[in-house]
Amino acid sequence: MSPRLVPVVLMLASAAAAADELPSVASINLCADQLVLSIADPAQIRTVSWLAADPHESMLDAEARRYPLNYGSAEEIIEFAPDVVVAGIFTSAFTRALLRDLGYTVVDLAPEDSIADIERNIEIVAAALRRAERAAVVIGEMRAHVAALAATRRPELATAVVVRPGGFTVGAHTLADELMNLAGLRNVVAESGLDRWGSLSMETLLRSTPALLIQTGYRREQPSLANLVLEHAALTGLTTTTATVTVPAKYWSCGLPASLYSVEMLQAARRELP
Amino acid sequence: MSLRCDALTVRYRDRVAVRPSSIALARGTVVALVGPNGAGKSSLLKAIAGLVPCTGTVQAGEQALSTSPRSRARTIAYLPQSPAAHWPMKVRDLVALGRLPHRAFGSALRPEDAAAIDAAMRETGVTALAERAVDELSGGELSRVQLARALAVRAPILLVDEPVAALDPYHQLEIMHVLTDYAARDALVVAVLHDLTLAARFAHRVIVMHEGEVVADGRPEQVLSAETLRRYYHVEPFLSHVAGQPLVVPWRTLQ
Amino acid sequence: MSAALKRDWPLYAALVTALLVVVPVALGVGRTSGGPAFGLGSPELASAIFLEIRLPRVLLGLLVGGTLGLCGAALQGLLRNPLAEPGLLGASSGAAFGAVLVFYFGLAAGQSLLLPLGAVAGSLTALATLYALAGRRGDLLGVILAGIAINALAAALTSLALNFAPSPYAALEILFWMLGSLADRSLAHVALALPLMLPAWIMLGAAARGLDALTLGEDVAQSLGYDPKTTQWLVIGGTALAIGAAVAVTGVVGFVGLVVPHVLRRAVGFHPSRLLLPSFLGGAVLTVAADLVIRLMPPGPELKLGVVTALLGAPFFLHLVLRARRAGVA
Repeated sequence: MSPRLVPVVLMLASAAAAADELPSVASINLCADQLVLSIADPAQIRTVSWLAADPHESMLDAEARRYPLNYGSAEEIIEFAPDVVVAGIFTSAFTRALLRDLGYTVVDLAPEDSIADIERNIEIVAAALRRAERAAVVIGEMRAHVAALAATRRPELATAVVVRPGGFTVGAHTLADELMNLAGLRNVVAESGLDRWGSLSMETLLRSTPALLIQTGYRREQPSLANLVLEHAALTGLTTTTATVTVPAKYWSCGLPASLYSVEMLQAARRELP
Repeated sequence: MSLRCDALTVRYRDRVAVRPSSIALARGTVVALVGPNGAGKSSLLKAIAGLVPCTGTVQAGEQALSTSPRSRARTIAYLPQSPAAHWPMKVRDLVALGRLPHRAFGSALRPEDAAAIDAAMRETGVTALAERAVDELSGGELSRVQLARALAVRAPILLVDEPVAALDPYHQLEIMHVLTDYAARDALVVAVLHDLTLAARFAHRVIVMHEGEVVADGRPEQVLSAETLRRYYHVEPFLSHVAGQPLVVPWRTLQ
Repeated sequence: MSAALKRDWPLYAALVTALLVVVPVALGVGRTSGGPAFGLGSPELASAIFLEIRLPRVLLGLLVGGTLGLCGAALQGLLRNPLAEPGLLGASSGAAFGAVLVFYFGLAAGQSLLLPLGAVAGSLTALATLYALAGRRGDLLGVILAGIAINALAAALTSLALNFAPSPYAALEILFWMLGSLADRSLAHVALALPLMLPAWIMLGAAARGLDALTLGEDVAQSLGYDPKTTQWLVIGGTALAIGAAVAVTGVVGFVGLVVPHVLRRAVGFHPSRLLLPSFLGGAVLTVAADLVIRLMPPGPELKLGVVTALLGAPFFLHLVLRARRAGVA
């Protein structure tokens, strides 16, 4: 830690004795916010980013609103004087570097591309916040949830395609893909070779004649070009003949235990299929 | 300062603009460089000024022309055919640019610089325009201002390309007198001229170029003869004298 | 130069005064979740806030803004066109591409200094390509065309990299970076940019007299002892180096190099050489002031600096074009 801040930290540390010597935390990234909200003791949390309080973006927006919100700049964060800062690897490199220069511990989280990644990030955050027991509980619950879902999964897989605003879709090695499999669905686009994310070719969509269309319904009430793509004639023709389910985007933007609720939605839709 | 060129050749990518030419010009003279369009007059002038690649040698005064740009700039002043003035500066400031070869980096104008600028403006009759912006001037006024810039260099060799093309008769005569006076102070003035009448009257020496070659070189009465004009210009002149000075007026075209 | 200072002293007085007003204010204003924050926060944090956050931001704003203004003035002098902009040579877009490459290969994560190094490599590559395309005896039109080609290529390559970004978040991070910002820069960025900017400034200063001579056209400039090719490469080399360094640390900030020299030109009697230093000071003032405006905005995510300068500069540019057309010049 930079020598400049040693007196600061000592002073704050003594004031933080009430928090049971658990490190205080500031989070400046949406996915980091939600993990911190899931794992930390409320007394530890100094601030989360403004996106966590947005019901469209965050699964834990009600919890997030209990805390002061930040917009991710270094000057704001040092006013909160946290012990640990949690961020994503794509959060502004400048902000993260400056916070490190100022002596803060910054934890970078990679995006969650699988359920295993979710567990990994839970453990990373728990280690930084000294909440190992809480992490164990959360992970245990999540695994139980996965097992329960696997039990209710139909063995015959149905074909499905994800359609996001802008004509994007999800391919192999993504969290959404794994969750679809857990729901008893085959991701046709992944099978045709798409890795990670990319554009959905209408032709692929039509040829694959999926049994289920998964839409992520992001801010449908807002006019946007991205949403216009969803009104492509080929697609609307398909929706009249194909089953559709809407999974709110916030379940898949970040990987959380709560993301598993999307599997329940998918399984319900799966049950409706012939 | 005298000027001497030996086998000066200008070759552009696809053609020879100036065939190997050797000329010797004395100081204190006005030399008119004439010839039909495309004869290579401007190219020859640019070659002497060092503006186009050429082979052959150029000697100014006793020595070969210096390779140092500044030294060369103090020796030869050049005014092209349609001189540019890209920024709307004041007239005095534009003329002052002529002092650049003499000024050290970052220095202010010295008294001799100011004197040269004032003199140049006075000689070309633009002193009254000193504080005007150059983009507000008429074509003729701008021509004179540009000549003032070239005069301000006070170089011993002055090369001008069509200095009077845009001027009314009053200013044409004035400028030719300016050039003569400049030469009278021991400088060499080489002027590309289209106006044969002015060339005949004011030049001490006339050089005729045709298709890249020097075809005639001498005093105006000798060079600007009916035969020369018929042969290279395809015009029939009217020749006479006025108060002892030759009068040459192209009169009729020939087939 | 002392001669120019004496001659234009009212202009310098005005610019220095503007600096002396804007800089202390900029140092005293920060930004927290509640919007603008005046003063230096709590006493224990004041020195960290001032030295590590405010000072680098303002200092970098001065250096980058000054560089942009200076390069704009030099480029307009070289091209003899008041509508020229430093981005023209492809240095900005080359620098941006270099930085994007670093993002794309994930090198920037956790090590923000690699990002500026990538950008400088990009801008120098753009310059080397320009040199190869336009040739050592490159005429001005050739240089401009090469610059356009390089800009197009850099933009295409950047789009390609975005296309293959590992995730939408990576693409967004790149796009936001390219909008230009001074937020959360550190003294390390100043230390990175300055060694490149200093020689660049010297090169541009050395071209001053040559730019004056070019007022009369390339032939006359040569006859006055100032080879236009030398002036050209001094300006191009200096601009590419300086712009590369600037883009490397702040992303692409446009229009400062267009607006500042334009506004100040009349005050220096249209002399290209006398315009250089005032444009540096003016660019510094404008950039720090624009950044100050950003921090004074109501609470919310921070506006990008490049967006603010574009919002100021683009209408100005439009006005210039209209005025030039009316005067029958453009």
